[in-house]
Amino acid sequence: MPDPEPVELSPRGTLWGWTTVTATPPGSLGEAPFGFGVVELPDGLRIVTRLAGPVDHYEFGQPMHLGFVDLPGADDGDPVTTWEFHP
Amino acid sequence: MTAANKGVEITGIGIHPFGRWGEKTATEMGVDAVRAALADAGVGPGTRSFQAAFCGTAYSGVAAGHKVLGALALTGIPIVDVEAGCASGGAALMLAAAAIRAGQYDSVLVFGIEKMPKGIIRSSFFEPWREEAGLAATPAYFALRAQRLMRESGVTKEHLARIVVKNRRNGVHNPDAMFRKEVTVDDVLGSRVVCEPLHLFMLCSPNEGAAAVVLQRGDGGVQLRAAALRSHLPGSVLGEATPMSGVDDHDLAPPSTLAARAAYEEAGIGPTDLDVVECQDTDAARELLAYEELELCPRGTAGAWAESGHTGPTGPLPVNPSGGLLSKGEPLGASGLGQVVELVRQLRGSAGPRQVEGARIALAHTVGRGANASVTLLST
Repeated sequence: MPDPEPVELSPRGTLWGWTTVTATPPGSLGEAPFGFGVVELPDGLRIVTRLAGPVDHYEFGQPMHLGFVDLPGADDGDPVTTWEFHP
Repeated sequence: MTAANKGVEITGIGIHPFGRWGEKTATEMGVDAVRAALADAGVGPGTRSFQAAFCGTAYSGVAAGHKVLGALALTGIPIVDVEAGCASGGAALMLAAAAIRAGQYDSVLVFGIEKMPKGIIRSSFFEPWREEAGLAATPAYFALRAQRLMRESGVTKEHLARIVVKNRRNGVHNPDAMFRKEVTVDDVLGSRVVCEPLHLFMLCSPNEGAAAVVLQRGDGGVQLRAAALRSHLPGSVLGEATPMSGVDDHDLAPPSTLAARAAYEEAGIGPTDLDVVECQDTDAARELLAYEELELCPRGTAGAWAESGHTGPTGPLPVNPSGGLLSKGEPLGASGLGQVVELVRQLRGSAGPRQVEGARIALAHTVGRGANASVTLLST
């Protein structure tokens, strides 16, 4: 393993694993259900990510690309932007 | 006991049943388990036969072990809480056994306590931004791992369901388990989906309980042959480390394999020598993965191995005769020591209707947050 260092990631990859989170996890700003999975990027790095849903028709190895989602802020605060992958 | 003894003997075991106990505190459950273990070891009340104590716990706060031993008037010695996620109990055993083998102490008390809320475990392991993004969804990591196992090891949802059926059937006979009712494959597959492919009945319940073990230098009785703890190598994407990213990890040994190999080597025992196993069945796929990771069966064959009935109560290698975490529930700090309590009963021949005939060599396995994996080997 090389010494870890920041790298720029590709916004495109392929689907490596997916599921649906059906109960809102602890501390989550968004509500369940939402897609959750792993996308494999071209250099071989696998990223844990939210997935744009529904995921029922997702297939192993299908192309995915980076997108963004606004989650409601806590206590009526500003929305929080995070990433998710789309088909 | 003489200085010539090289072994570490388990002289006493005690358990507070795993379940949900209302107002009863973790300290009170710990007191019950420690009292039982000391009585089992033949130590009279008020007698401090041990020179140190390690307390496995993840959620009990500051100096939790002191509160238990304080209530028993057994303080005055080093008392150290040990946190290694689900492997806290195994980690405490490792430290205790090493101290005895090093000649530091003749006897060490090891116990674990936990009182956990229902539902998805909230873990400070996740940074706040990760929780906010919904990425602290622990069962989803389990589900992705299950999906991978189905893809790579020929495992089906029916296999997953049958693990639950097996463990719940074993749990019927365990008075220390939370769930003591049999379930069918249809019940399991009919329970609600938490994270596809995992249904509610395929996931263990975080709960409450305590367990205790008295270790002593000695060459008789039930021997603690090895207690190994390992963490994950960098790069795995779906392990209990719940990483944000990883690489192709086919050539990376997972932490459970690292711990198992270390324990097998330390004890001079191999997987084919085992008579009985208690392994981490946080979810049904986790047990099947453990078969491969502990090298009980070749990688990629967990599905076929499960199908063969190899690990049923009358199979060649019974796994989780206690009912596993799927029946007992999982009080983190106590769960690993609960496995050891079960295996000591098995090796003493005192496991009643759960007895694995002629069991002489046993393995206990936990793996959890960190990732931390522990493997403990016992023999008579």
